[in-house]
Amino acid sequence: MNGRLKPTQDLVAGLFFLLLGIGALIIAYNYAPGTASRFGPGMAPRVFSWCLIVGGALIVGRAILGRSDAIERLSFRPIFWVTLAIVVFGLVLPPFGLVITTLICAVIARMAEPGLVQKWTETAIVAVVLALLGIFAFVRALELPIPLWPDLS
Amino acid sequence: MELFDNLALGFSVALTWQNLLFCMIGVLIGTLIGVLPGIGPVATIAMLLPITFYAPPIAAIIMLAGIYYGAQYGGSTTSILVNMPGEASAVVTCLDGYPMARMGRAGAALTVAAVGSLFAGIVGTLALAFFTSPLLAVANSFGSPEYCSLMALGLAASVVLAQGSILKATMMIFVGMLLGLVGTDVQSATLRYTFGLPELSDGIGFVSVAMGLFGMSEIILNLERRLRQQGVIAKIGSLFPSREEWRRAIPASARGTGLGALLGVLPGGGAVMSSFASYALEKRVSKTPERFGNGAIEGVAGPEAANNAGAQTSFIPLLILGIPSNAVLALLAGAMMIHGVAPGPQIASSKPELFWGVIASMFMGNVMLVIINLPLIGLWVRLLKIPYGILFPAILFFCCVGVYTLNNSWFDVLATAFFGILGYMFRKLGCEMAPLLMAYVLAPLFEENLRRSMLLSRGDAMVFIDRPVSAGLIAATIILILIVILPNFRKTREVAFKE
Repeated sequence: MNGRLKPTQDLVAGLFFLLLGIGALIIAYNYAPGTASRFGPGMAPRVFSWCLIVGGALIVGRAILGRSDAIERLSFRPIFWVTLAIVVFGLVLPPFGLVITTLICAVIARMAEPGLVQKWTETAIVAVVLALLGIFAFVRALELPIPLWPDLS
Repeated sequence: MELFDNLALGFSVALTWQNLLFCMIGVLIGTLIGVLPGIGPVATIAMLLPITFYAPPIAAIIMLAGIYYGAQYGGSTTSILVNMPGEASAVVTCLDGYPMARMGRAGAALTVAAVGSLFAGIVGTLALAFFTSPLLAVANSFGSPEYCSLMALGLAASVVLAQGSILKATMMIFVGMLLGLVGTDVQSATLRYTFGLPELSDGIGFVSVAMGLFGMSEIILNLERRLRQQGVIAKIGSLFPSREEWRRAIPASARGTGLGALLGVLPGGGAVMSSFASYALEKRVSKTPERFGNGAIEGVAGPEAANNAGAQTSFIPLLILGIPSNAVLALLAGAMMIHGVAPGPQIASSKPELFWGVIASMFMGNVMLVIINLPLIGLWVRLLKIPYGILFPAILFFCCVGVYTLNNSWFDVLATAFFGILGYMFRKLGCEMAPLLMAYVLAPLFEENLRRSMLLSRGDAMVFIDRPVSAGLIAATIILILIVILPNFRKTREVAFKE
């Protein structure tokens, strides 16, 4: 039985809920539960954690005993590059300003689809147009408080 | 009449240039996302939230509301012309709209959809205006226990309407509740689940959660599925329906409007449920049900009117009780809170210009939508040809700028990335995210009212059953849950989602 146990949707989801519940419950023990008439900060977390633990266990049980849909193939390419583009945006923007950040992130984002970034003219146009949009629409027109260029002082 | 005074106040607010402009922008964007497949209203509103923070609250809410009901119009366009629902509530429109297009009657279908939607939108908005005073009286009698029970009912409804496993959807509520608890506890000032990060002491940013879970994960999914240019776009043909088509469409639109307006008020209701229910109703009352699926104009007119009426009246629970009934309205509730407007019965009395201004703007918005949709239809169709490889870096860029400027915080941007991965994972595991978002928005309110109820009753949980209104709501919640568990309903639900 164990050898044939596949990571189905229900199994993984159930384990996720179960572990999240256990983790949240352990942390919740740091907060005072209070009494029935005066809930402390720990009451709601405890209740929700227990619900997750019980429900998660039920889903895991159902996945082992019954049938469950297999997980569709994950494609790591878009996950990786889209996430990287966002993270880089967050980290590069404060020191280097919007223009440089946008140019870098546009290229990173276009890595997410095979063969896309290699259309270099299109990539360059997308990057430059977005940077210009950032300068004129967001910073000049909407006056968002974002630095445009690296702070050299 | 008090109603007319209120509406007059509303129109005086909605007819200012600024608010008309924001209403226009809202319905334009709504149409745009309704037309473009792969970007739903939840994701778009999540993405646009930060931009609205630079507008005054009234203008921002007018615009966000416009996006929601505008998407109902736009969704019908792609359903009819390319057999691709741009939006969940437009799925049923494909069934008869696309066959009509193949018979060369696309123009007639579009006109019937737009005019029916206008009629439904106006009736729905009137219903919203008309029932406000009596419902406010009810809402003002609500105490903490009633609010708790009502939220329980709303959350149960969000589970019933979720696709896939009910147990998983229920668990998503608790995940959302826990996420909503992160931050400083209001009563004891205890920091909960902040992991020592000062950025989390005010809770996880609402925009990061919504944009990550719905927006980012959708972009990743679209890239994975290689969302490409659409196939054949049907010819539009004459925009004028024949006399026979009008004769069939008008009663269908009227029935759809009534049904949609009714279903929109229910917790968990709104556009999607209304359109499905209306299609089923039209098929049942028709003398020739075999025509359905082969280009029956009633199958376009009914659901299109219903989804728009439902979209309007689903504002009733949000504006009057402060309880969002679906994920889009949960986002709007979050947006209102960020703008310093707590949704609830007090809005109508303390901020009448906002309350009635938003309602009046819906009249304007619905009229604008017909103008935007019918003569400009060719323009929207052309938009379908923009390749996703150009579209998504731009969407990503807007989102990042939006999240960052919200608090000038890189932490929020990284949190968005985190929730993007989480959202992708949930989609892959068949876990519906709408219940999570609703619970996340409601969590602080729910905990506060639960605490108050228990304090009021000195720790006796029977308080929820002793009070008649609360008991009624609890009973409704239990009935709802029982219905879902019963095998008979389960089958119909599966059939409904298969289409």
